[in-house]
Amino acid sequence: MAIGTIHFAAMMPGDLQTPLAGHEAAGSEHFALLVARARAGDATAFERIMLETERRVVGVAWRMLGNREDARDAAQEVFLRVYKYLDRYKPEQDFNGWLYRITINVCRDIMRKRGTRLGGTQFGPRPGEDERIAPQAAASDVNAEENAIRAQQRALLLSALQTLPEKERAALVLRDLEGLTTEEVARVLHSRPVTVRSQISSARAKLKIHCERLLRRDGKRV
Amino acid sequence: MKCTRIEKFLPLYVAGDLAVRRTRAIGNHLATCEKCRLNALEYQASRDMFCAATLAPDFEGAFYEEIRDSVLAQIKRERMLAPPSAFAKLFNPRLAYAASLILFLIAALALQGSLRRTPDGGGRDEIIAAVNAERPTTPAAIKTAQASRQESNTRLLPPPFKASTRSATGKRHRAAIRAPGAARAEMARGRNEVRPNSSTAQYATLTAGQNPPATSDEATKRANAVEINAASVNESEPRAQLEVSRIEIQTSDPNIRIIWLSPVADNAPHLLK
Repeated sequence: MAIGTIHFAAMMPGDLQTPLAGHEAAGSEHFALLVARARAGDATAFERIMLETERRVVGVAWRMLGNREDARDAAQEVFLRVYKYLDRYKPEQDFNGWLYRITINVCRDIMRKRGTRLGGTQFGPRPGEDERIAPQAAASDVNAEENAIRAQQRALLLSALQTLPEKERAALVLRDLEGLTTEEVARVLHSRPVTVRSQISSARAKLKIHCERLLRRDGKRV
Repeated sequence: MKCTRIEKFLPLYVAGDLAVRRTRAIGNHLATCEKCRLNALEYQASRDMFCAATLAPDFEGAFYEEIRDSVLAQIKRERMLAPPSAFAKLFNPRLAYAASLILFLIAALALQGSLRRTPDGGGRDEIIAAVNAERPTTPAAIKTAQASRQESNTRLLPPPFKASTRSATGKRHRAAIRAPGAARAEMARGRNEVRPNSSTAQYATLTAGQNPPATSDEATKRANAVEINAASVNESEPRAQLEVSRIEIQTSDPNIRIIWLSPVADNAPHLLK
């Protein structure tokens, strides 16, 4: 376990719990204004909404679906639905919650389609990881090996995420990766906080077992 | 708390998802239990590891640009931004429920009102009560009524009239009603002048007195029936000149007057049986 802990320290970024960065963390009032303008036919307002939320949408979709292509398709579908249902958005409503709900629903639809078509997916390396690894590998073979191991661990963990049931995965992504509170997650998923806590607890326990297996295997290898 | 119970809460404890009281209780336990503390650390480590592995992806700008362009092109192509319909703007589920409830109440009140309504606008119960009020109930009142009836017989009673006769050809003729001028004037006060001379007419007037008509049509029909029966003659009736007493009951509707012509008991006891 000590080896694993050292790895975490190396991998942990400073802003892990604040995934909403920069302009994306705008308030609902701001979005309510943009929605009102978009509803009136202002195309630039809708483009602005897309600009401010696309990273969040793609991030959730990528975590839920596990690959870039599906994440792109999901993001497109999410924005089309947002545009289509702008009338249903109420100004007093939390825009981010509304957007998350649409995103999760779109991801579920895609997973169902994909489930019948492919039967699963595998996470590739994180976007931009190949570019980062390549120069490091040229500098040092040791670093390259470490990076390769890390990338492999990451891919395995992301695969573990894909093994979780759909609802547990959605709850975990929103709570642990998007930083929503349990109550916010419950609202997005149309569920109760106690149910969300149960789902999150189950998902964390499963991931812990997965991590332990992973670390045990790495320990043997080392 | 036991270790097995603590273990259930550890996945939530590491991320601060528990209530303050329970978090404090688990913290106290972890301070004393080495095994549970190690378990909690493992949970924390796996969670951190997972969060680090699933950091938000850093796709290139062209990736997002492609998404935006695709969405905007599709919107333009399909003209998805249809202005909201007027109905959609007006429609509010709460308002709809309230409106339907109000309509239902109005309909229920209207139905109740129409059921209670009578031709003259008065209540059915009121008419019955008025008619009954005029009827003597106590023996003393009955005697008084009989006395007054005797008086009215002498004063208002039209002369005996022949109901009808059958001509030599067998055709039925209307009864020729004979009455003195004063009595005729008295009888003409009512618009529906009734000159019954049959048991059917008596039954009709009695029935009308006991159960007043519910509607104006019904009242008119009954009045017509009385008149017709009075005009026609049943062959089975005795062809005798009858002394009848007359009781008039004026309903609240000025167009409806109930006239009760009953034979005087001394003259025609068989009709009272």
